[in-house]
Amino acid sequence: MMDKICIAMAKGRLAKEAVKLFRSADINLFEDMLKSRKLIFHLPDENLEIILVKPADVPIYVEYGTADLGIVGKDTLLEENRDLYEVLDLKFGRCRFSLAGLPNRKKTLLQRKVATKYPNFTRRFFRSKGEPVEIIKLNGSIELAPLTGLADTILDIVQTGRTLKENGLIVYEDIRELSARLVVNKVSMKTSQKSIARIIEALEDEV
Amino acid sequence: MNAFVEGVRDILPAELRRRREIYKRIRGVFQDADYREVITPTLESLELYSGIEGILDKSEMFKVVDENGQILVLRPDVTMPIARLAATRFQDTPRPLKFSYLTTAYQSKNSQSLSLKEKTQAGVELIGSNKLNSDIEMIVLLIKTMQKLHIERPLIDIGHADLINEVLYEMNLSDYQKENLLSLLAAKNKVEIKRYLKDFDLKQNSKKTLIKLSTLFGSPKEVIKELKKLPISKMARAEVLKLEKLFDKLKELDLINYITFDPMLISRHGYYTGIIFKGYAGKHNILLANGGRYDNLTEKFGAGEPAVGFALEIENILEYLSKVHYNFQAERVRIMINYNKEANFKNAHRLAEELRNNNYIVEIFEESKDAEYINFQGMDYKLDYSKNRIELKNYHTGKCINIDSELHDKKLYEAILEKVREV
Repeated sequence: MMDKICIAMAKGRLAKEAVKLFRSADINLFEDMLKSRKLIFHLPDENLEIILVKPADVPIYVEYGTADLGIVGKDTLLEENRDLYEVLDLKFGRCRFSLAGLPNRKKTLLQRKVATKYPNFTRRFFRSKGEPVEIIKLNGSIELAPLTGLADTILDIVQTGRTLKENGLIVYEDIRELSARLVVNKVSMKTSQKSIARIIEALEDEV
Repeated sequence: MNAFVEGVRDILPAELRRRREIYKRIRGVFQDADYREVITPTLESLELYSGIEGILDKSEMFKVVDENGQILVLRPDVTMPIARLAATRFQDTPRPLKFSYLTTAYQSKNSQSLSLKEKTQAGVELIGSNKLNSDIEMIVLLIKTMQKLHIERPLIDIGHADLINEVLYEMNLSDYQKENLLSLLAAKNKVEIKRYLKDFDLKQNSKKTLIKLSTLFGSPKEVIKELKKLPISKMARAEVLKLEKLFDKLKELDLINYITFDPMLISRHGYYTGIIFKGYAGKHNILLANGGRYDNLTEKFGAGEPAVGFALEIENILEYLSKVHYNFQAERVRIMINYNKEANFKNAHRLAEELRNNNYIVEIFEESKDAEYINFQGMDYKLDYSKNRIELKNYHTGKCINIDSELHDKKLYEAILEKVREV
């Protein structure tokens, strides 16, 4: 008998893409499941259960084993830094981590303040470069920080660069490429190997 | 005052009862194989744990300063103290040494899901034997213990600490590169391994091997077959053959169904040198046990010798058992005796003793307690001991019975015991 597998998906754009991907891999998720406000879906025919959670919570659900699999952006994985298996690049949700700010970047490293939604990743990044910075954690509209003088630099995800442009900011440096990933709980990978391998292989063929 | 400390907790009677049963079963299995229990001190010197790569970050240990200014730690693990014990107190004793323990370990930070700072561990150490049969003995003992604890579908995931080191050694990488690759391989992160290897000066063959290794795990037979196909060094191949032999022997013992093989299984404990294994309960995401071979650990104390062992995580076992709603045994029957009159005081006490000798739990009160207390204690029966009658009441059925109070001593006890079974 195959074990039932629980998949945590990051609510929003990533879940939409994920549903499309699963359907193209012949795993029958309801096409309109994201239109309802339900947070948990049982799919007895596929022996699956889908839960919709906030992006930053996906790695937590998967690390604790409440969910066996998770679909989440690499940005969240880098920030949360959880103990998981990361098995597949799903290729959608592509963007990159960049440093940005007002034109005429200050040369001095002293008193540099960086505003970000990703304080853990930012800390690691600047530490590995050996640059001392003050990190200010914000929860949204990061672009405002340099405009209001709260910070001189921001570290954020950039997709097209339009938001930056419209607010008169420029990219100083691209740090790394990001995209959605399939992550697996370390124990489930062993205890439900067959069921999980089936899903990974089906998705791998489609990306 | 806020006397609450995060990461520690009180153990209440109901849980303690379950724990005692778990302890009993684990100790039983260890004793049957003659692993003798020892207790090492809660406080150890910080030096015992320093200089051992990867065992535990110093920042994760609880430190205490004694009156001489020496820094002590609350033992963060039990394998180290037992290695110390073996090397310093048992140098001249014949080998192998077989020890077991059941005690607490302390960590200020815990990377595993259960974020307890005080954890109970039960384990064994087999010191002084480098034989494959000793590795097998450990795995057999772990499966046996898990079965005694009623863990359904026990699963032992086996890896090898030297195998990957041999594979990487051949590739002439820097320590930094090795470290990066090891952590990517441990995370089975094929995506990032590919990315990392892209602009790497490495033979195409080696790159393929590393990518293949990140996806290779599962049925021992299949994985061994795939490993043999890879272009790995002679030394690495020798380790693969040893593992194959181990799996063959486990098959001979009809235990191979409990085993999976993950060549990239990498332990948090850096002291492992050979086989590494982890124990799980099938389809429950809880790690129940950790073990492996640590042949270099006792060298620190001037007497290097091979050793292998494992530790069970008691809190995780409790979590598993409550998840599957398993209770080890029926609760003992509880009886309350009321004697009402002073004249029956002595008789009530003698009766209580007699019932206790027959495995009943007995409380004595002069007058009956109220329903709230009876419910809280989970009483099953009331024995009302008045001068001219003895009434037995079953709280579950509400049924009452009178017992002939003309009977004395032994005869009376026998009559009561008989009725308790009946009502």
